[in-house]
Formats: sequence, structure tokens, C-alpha cells
Amino acid sequence: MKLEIINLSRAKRILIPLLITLVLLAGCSHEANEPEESLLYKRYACRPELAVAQVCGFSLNDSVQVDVVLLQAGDDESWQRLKEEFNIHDEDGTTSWLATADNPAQRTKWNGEPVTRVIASHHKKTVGLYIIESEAQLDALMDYQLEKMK
Amino acid sequence: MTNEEFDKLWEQASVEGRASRLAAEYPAWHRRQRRVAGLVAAMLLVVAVTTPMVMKRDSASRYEKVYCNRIDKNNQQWVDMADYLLMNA
Repeated sequence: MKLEIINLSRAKRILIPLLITLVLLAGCSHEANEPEESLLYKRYACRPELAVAQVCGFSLNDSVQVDVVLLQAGDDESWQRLKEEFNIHDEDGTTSWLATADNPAQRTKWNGEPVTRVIASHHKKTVGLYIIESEAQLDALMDYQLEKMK
Repeated sequence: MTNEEFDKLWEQASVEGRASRLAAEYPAWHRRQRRVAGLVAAMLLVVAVTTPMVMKRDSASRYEKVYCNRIDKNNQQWVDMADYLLMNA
């Protein structure tokens, strides 16, 4: 019986700290995986005339996600300013293009480098910046749009 | 047997009686202790296993996290907007 008590207390001494460590590790790994604010978001978030958001891990399908930065003008004046910044000359509908990763106003073509897919809606006074870092994300984005159009 | 010898025996018997009662109760106490330790271990195990699952993205959720510079907008509005733009591009 004495031996059993010793074994039990030994087991407790090992098992409980082990489990507590597991819990702490689980918490820490979650913290480490927390998505961060992108540079694009930080660039626009300080502007009071814009409502700015970053949707992290926006799902395009079961395995592909993208980060999306959305810029929404509060009034016509700030929308006009945003249009000028992004060189948008259309007056209505939706405009879209591929832009370089660091400058969403600068049009580019896909060459394997990270890009930003920009979609601007006049109706919503909103510009969406879809941060594309891989071909898989670009393909998934196109597939997603095609799927939605059906 | 003298009075003194009888008192000594009586005292001894009382002590032994208490000891045997304790000995009889010991297995039950021991079982209880083991049960409590098992319960604590099981609870910790459940927490350790479920915490990452709970913290992991909900498979039904369309996004991981939303940062926003305005408090009057909710996360779902932005996710819907990201969807809307794609649908209308």
C-alpha cells in the first residue's frame, strides 16, 4: 500500500506539470499564430476620413485564404480623393486591376512576384486590396469569382 | 492481575482499536484520493486537448481575424464587403 502511495504521488508529480505545460504550450502556439496587421493596413488606418479594415485569412476555398484590406470613404469628397490616389477614372460600376505589392495604385501584370488585386466599387465607395503572395492564391481568387458568377 | 496491569491492557486495546479503525478506513480514503487525482488529470487533459481546437479557426468561419480603425463596424460587414467586391468585379 505504501508503494502504491509513492507511485501515485510520483505519477501526480509528473503528470500534472506535464499537462499544465501542454495547456501553456497550446496557448503560446495560438499567440504565435495570431495574424498581424499588414503594412498596407497600417498605411491607411491612420486616415480619419477612411474606414479601414483588414480581414485576415479570408477563405477562398477549403485550403486557400488571402488577407484583404478594405478602404471605405465616408463621403463623396474622400471617395474622390481615394479615386485620384488610385488613378481611377471610371465614374461608376466596379474597376479592378493587379497592382504591385507595395503600391496598389501602380498597375502590373502577374510575374510570379507578390501582387495586390485591387477592386474598387463606386457604388460602395470602397477599395478592396487582396494581398496575393502565391499563384495558388491568384488561381483561387479567380476560381472564387467564377464560382460566384455562376 | 493488578489494577495497574488491567489499565495498561485497556489503554493498549483502545489504541489498537483506533488504529484498526483507521486501517479499515484507509482503503476508502486512498480510493478517494486516487479518484480526485484522476479527475484533476482528466480535466487537465481535456483542457490541453480542446484548447487548440477551440482556438483554431472555426471551419464555418470565413476569416481568422479582422482589424479595423472604426468601432462602429462589425467584422461580418467587412467580410461581406470583401465578398461583394469579388462578386461584382
